[in-house]
Amino acid sequence: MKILNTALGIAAYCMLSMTNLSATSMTDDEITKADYKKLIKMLTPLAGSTPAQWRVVWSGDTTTTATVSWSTAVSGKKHTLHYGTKPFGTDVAKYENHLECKKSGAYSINAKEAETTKTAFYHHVPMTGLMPNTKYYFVMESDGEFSRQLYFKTCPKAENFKLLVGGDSRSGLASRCRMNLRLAKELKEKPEIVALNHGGDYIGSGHSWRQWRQWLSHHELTTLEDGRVLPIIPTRGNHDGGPIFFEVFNLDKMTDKHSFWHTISLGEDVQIITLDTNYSAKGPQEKWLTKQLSTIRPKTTWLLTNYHRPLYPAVKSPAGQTAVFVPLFEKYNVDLALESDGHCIKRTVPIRDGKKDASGVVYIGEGGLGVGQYRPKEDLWYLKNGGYVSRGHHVMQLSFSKDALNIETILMNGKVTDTHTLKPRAK
Amino acid sequence: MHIKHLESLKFGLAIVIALVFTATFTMNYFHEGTSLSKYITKQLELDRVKEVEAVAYTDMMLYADELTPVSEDVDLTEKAGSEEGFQRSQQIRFVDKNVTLVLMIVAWLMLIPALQRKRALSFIYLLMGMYLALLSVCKGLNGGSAFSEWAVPAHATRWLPCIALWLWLYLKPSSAENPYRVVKWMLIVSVSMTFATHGMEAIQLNPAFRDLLIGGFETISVTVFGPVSEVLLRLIGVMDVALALLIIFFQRKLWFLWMAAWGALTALSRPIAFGDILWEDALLRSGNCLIPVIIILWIYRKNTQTTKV
Ligand SMILES: [Fe+2]
Repeated sequence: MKILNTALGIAAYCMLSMTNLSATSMTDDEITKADYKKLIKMLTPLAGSTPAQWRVVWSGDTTTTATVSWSTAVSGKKHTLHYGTKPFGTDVAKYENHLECKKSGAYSINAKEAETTKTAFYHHVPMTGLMPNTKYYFVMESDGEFSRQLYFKTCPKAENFKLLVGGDSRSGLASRCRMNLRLAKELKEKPEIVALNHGGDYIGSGHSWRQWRQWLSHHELTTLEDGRVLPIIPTRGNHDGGPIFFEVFNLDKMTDKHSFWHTISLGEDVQIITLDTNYSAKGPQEKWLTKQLSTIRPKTTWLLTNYHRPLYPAVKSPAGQTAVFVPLFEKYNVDLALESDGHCIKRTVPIRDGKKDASGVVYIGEGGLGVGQYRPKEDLWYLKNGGYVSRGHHVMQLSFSKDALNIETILMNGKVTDTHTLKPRAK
Repeated sequence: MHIKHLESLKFGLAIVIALVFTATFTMNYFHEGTSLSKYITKQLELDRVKEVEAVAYTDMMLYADELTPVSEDVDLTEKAGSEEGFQRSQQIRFVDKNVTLVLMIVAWLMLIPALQRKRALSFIYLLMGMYLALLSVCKGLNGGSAFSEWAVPAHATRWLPCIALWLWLYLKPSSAENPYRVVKWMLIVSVSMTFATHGMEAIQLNPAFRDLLIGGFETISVTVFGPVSEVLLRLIGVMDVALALLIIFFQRKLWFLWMAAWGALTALSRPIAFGDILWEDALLRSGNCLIPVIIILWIYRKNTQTTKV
């Protein structure tokens, strides 16, 4: 029965791929009502050594580096990434580069799930020496099984670009999938979008492989029919505990078990410092943050911070790290702070010293990539008189240029519910 | 004389419980819903979107797993729209707020001696204890925060004293001192459980504890570096666990005094370390300090009485 179902799944997948049923050709209305079962049939089943669950992960310098990762159901012997700046379809020999995967392993599975579920295997191929603002075509190969040709674009060095920002895709599988369709549609309509910054809480329990594998498969819906992949910038949420987060995004565990922070450089003008609100603010994280802020601030036009639990929340109480992070953000004049976790839409007024201040930091969030929404507190001083608060599945779009940072909040149906523009700080 | 002294301790215990319910209500009203309302909301939401069936369908189609048997024709259309789901979550939130409001009022009303004497009303404390224990269970089920799976023993100084007080009020006043031993033991066990759990969390370097430790030292201009903070935190953890075990075997005043001081310091450590006043937070933890105080008074009184006799 199991084999029959897999066969049926693969057959359905092949048929749908051939008919090129495209998610991004759906209308906005169709996206909000998309049928979960139909969407699942469009995804690559995890079977044998067929490359599935691909993703492009960004950390560090995104103009010259990226990691292509995928999963296979069996461990396999040889996993190779064929890539280059010219498309050759599955004629893999013609690609300029062939990198053999050196970072493969089994996704961790907890003892309870292991009784009934098999784990799968990850494969990571980090690429360096890429050219900025360039399309890289790639095909993944595992033991002679090939993926279709996919591609992604490296971040431009100085040109204008857009970044999608969202978080909280942990429950509501259909809503998560529909939001992925939304991301894909935005990417298709605005090719200048470079990546998705996911603010964390991918799944409900970070220790559950059964939950992670669903998230990984659903992520395929963000890939366009022409093969364009939306790179992802990872953040650790409070539900993303455990080792699988690191195995999914090819991140090296830091000295302290499962803590994780990193800086993402998006060209010359935009830097994002991603923090870990599951970890102590004091000690190593504060030291690292201070150093990052002091070295980056003088050099960059747009300095953003990103972390999961809000410091100026619209739903819950402030994160434990607030007293440490906020003074540092204000001292080093962070332009924008990206938050998740509250399951609502919010944009604060600029804040300095606990007051509205034009020179302060704006905080936006708080997660709507599928999770059910909470009612935000509309009467908080930092959300009134120039701030914005609402609820609904959403993603935010940041448009960067040298003289403006435009923020748009886009709902599942494509409607823009809030816009705001930041001007660069005087040097 | 001794009975009279016990009466005042009983009153003290009722005050601690009233403080805990005041904190529970305030946090619920001004910050976020209780773990119980979050748990119910999430379960209803998962039911609305037929999450179990959707997961089973995905498992079958993409991973050839049939953990939960599901037909390929399963209807995965959501049971109700997302707005309906949201409205229902608002109703739960409304009930949630009012339940904590009523419990707070009742907890303060129960300080009236005439009400405390009514044995039938003692069951209110049993219900309160069960309610607080349920909140801890739900916190564990909801997950998403460090060590939330240990919430039931960690919060023992909140829920167990309620059950102890129920027993205390329910026992016939005419009965001798002995039945109250159970009550005293429940209080000792509650302190022991909370300390042991916090100790285990410290040994495993709970990030929130580390922030409080480093932040606390900074207020007296002492910088504690990363590795030092780890060693200190582990030592504190070992001390907590050791005390938790010791008080089960030997009830010494000094140890409870130490625990009361430590309980007060940790409950107030947030405002001390960071200057932000989350008084509800400190109030919620007031039992960590006040329950050991009640135990001290109990032992102290007993000792002086014995010496007098
Ligand atoms: Fe969260």
